[in-house]
Amino acid sequence: MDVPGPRTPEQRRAGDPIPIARLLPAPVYFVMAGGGAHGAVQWGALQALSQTDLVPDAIIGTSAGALTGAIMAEDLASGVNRIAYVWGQIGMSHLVGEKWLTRGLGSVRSPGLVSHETEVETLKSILRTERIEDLEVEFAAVATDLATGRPHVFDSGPLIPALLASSAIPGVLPPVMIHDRLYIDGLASANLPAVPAVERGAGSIVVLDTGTREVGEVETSAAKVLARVAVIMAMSQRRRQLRDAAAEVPVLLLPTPADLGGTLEFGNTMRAGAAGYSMTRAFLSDLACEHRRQLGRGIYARPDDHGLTPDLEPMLKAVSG
Amino acid sequence: MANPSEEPIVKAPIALVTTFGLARTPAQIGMLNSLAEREIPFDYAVGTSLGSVNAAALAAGRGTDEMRDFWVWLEEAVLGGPVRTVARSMSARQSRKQAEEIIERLGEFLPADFEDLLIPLRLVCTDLETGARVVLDSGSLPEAVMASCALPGIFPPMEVAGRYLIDGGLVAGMPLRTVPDDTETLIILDTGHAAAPLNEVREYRWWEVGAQAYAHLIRGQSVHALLTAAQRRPVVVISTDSGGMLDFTSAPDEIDAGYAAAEEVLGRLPERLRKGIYGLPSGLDEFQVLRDLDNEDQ
Repeated sequence: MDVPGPRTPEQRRAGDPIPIARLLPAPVYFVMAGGGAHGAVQWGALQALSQTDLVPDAIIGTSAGALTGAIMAEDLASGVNRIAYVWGQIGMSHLVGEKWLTRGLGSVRSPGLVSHETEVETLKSILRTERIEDLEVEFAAVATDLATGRPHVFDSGPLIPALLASSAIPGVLPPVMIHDRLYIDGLASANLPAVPAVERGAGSIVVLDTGTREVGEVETSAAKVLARVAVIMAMSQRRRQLRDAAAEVPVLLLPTPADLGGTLEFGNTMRAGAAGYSMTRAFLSDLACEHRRQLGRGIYARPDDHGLTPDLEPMLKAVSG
Repeated sequence: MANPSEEPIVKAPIALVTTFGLARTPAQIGMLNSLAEREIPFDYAVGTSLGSVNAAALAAGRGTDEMRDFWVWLEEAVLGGPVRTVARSMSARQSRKQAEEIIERLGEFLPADFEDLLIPLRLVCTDLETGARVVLDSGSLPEAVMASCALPGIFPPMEVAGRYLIDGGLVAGMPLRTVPDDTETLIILDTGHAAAPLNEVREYRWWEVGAQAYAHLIRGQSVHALLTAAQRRPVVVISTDSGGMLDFTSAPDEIDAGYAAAEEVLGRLPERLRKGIYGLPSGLDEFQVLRDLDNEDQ
């Protein structure tokens, strides 16, 4: 089994928890990006964050990030353990049932390849809280209004419908109707909802990303091109969210591993979580060593984050260790 | 006011920008008609996605009648049967053949090379491997146009200079960063508004939900580009949202709607343009930066 290892002797000697709370102006928002199976990275990142003195004032998430974020928001103390348990078992079958692709393609006229039935059961077995406003930590899930294309932030009302809307993969799961509007996956408008966090009054933002996804070799079949297109658009939208948020508040962009496989491949969740933990832990230690005073606006990230293009360089504050 | 013709003074160099728009793209032809009637000249043309066809035709000095003929052919021969087209795209050989057919027809319609154009033209594509924006401004024109509008899943990626290129709409649905730096006035033919009425959306099938999500992703980027560009220079936006984004059977109707939209905006331009947005891009009404055309005459 591939699980996060114990801390090294150096890490233990450095003392727990890592002092980073003083660096971040309140209220601190954890921003959880969507990314399907890559969301397992966030489990590792949350574990590393739990070994600091930082407590989030609010959590906002999209798609898979909303699901993980909701578990955390339900109970901070047990959140990381419960998230590990979920990510250790979850697979595509927990979201869309068995043989979803072959079963679904016959139904050309339906609004989704499969129904939400399976996902609802899965969510009910994980979450105990019924309404968003009853969660322990302030929480919001981001979905996309299918008609207008604008992001919609669910910050009160029934929790599970909001999570279904936020993670309704376009074309696979049907849009979700809430208050007479139809919603699909937040990925179509704000997969990394940093700007919605700023709009809600965040003083600083910690971005739990899901990887920037390089490709080794280009394949040109129609299906592979479409899959690649989704990644290209998500990366482009990610840059825009980071740029606009960092113009207002400090943004910590936690590092993520480069190659995590496909976003619907749930076989790598253990490895992704372990990598997310060690990379985030090292990043936060370096940050605590390099900065003593409250951070100003900008993107605090590893300088080799390949998702950051030259136009973002002026606002990049390298955390190099 | 020393403007005896009472026509607005549009400061040169003027760049024409054509946007993404799927089935709504032919509306840009009607907009060009309205611009031509007012004798507004262009110094540069920039296009992305299916809008590249119109940008290239304008740069080549083609008349709007020729553009209309090309679109009617494209819809009848290729895009009009979505089921047939998508089924073909699943076979690499069939989709290649389809692309070759279009390139051949583009070759009859457009000059062979960028060098033969009347004004400089830039076409935006997306690098399939890196996701980077790629700008084509030299070489074979029909191949460049095909690459810029290689809608993913429908047309195969085009191999140009060792790179696989697809639809430029993915990185720039409104390619304003590609406009030459000395441009004084931007005129945008905007057909990329992705919003649809709720009652229509309710009838959507799974693949239409996917297409709608795709259009929303592209539109989100356009909004940002537009607001940034308007901080530097006057931006005239002619925008239409009539007709469905996926109804590839209505080019003549789209052209008429585009003409009406252009008349509405151009007929109300103030005498002198300043920095800001002129026109009411659909779906952007929530943004306060928009200037009310009627209050501009001060």
